[in-house]
Amino acid sequence: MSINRRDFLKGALAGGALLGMGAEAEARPNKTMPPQALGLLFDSALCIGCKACVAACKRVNGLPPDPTSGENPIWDVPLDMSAYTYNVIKVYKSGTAVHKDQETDGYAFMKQSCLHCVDPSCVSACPVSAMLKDPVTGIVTYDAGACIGCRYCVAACPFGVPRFEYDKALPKIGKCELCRHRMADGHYAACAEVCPTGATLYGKVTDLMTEARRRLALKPAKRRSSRAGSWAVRTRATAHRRPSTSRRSTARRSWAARR
Amino acid sequence: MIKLASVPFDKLGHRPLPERSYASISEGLQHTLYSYLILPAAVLGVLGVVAKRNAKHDDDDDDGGGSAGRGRK
Repeated sequence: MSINRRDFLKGALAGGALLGMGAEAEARPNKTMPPQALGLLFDSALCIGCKACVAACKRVNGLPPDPTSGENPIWDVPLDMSAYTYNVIKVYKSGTAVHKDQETDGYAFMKQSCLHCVDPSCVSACPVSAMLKDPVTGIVTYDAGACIGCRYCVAACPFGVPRFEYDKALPKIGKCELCRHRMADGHYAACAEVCPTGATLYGKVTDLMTEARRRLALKPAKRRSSRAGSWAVRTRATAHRRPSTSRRSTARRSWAARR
Repeated sequence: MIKLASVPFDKLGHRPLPERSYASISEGLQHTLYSYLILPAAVLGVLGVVAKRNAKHDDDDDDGGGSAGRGRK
């Protein structure tokens, strides 16, 4: 196909006009947190890995044993989040794994559940608004009645939180909704309710952020060891002045879920 | 959800996050492409012009048939 100068100029002009039109629309910025947003504070240094939160989450949400627990599970030991496990405690191990909260030759626990993002991808991707972010509480909610089972939320979530009931004829999405169904009875998130060490706290995100900053600012305390008067450096780990089993003296890091 | 830990978070299953949220990037892209349906309409127009330019009418056949019918070849 040959092209003469007139056609080329016409095409270039039209293309330029198209590009100019496309650049008019501005991408929106990140969304912001509702001022009264509710959330959880998880402190890995306090978690002892008892999984009471996993069991409590299953109980209050009426979830069956997880299929990943084995063929004929006697114990419900979910390995990961699933449509029947909204909350799971995972362990990090390194080398000999003897020291708690230590990167080398240590171990640490981490809670995996919905982060209730400020700008959630699942809400953005859902074509029928089954996934919504509550404008007041900030809870990312799921409406099974509106869901069409497209699993866009499963694909969109960068943390792999929404899970699909692949083994059901009428499947739903399973994810943590911060126990919003219990709020009418005066209860709050079961994982935070049952946590024996205060590793998982529930409250307003602003209050939790204040507490998190306070914990991050804590200096590792010097404590007189019971052995021969030597001084051992220990991390003062808890908000309740409870000494941690960690010997690591560096400060904790924070990871806030912005999205 | 706020999390505190002594071990780096990328070892605990939380990779570093970009400052821009994924939702804002994908929504920005979609809304740019489809804002007021200008771009799809413009693309349709361009395609129409191209199709019209490349269409070969029966009238232009070299056999000199003039306004010949479709079945005549």
